[in-house]
Amino acid sequence: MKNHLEKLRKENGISQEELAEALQVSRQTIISLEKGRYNPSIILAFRAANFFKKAIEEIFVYEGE
Amino acid sequence: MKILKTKIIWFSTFLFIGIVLFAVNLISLETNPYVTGFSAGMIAVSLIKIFQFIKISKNQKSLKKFEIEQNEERIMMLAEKSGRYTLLITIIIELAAAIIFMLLKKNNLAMTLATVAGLQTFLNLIMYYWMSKKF
Repeated sequence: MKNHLEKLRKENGISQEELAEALQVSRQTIISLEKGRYNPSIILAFRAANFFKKAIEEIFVYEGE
Repeated sequence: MKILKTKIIWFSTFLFIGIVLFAVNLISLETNPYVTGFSAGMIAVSLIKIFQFIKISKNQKSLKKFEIEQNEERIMMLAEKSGRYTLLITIIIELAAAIIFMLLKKNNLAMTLATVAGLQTFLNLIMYYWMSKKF
């Protein structure tokens, strides 16, 4: 699964630490998400979508199996 | 703070058990060096952990970071995965050692290892069944 987290974070001028705090995860998780090494749970995806005021599919892109 | 308190209680219990083991071993007629080492290790690890938790509790930023990390989905996923691989590797090593001991005609050791591996596999199946009912 691809995501636009890094792009959105930079557009909003937020640091990884700040985003981690807002999403209630560690900075390491933000790094893993941005690098596409970790796919978030639906809850975390919703939290990110709410935070950036976007729809989930605008942030996370499902590319199939 | 609740998670931290629970952890402090757990490690205080380990510390108490370690001290009791160490003291009982020390005053017994035949001191066992393995028990001395084990209990000393328990005391040392518990003390380090309790000290670490107290230090975290005194810093609001560290406390928040600690609480996030304790409930975090990625860390839980990592713990589950590493636990699963540890179990698999342990069982493979136990069975390989059991075969080696069997070839060396040390049947008691081979039997013990094979039994432990079997029990672990059985327990894993029961846990899987229980979890599948729960979730």
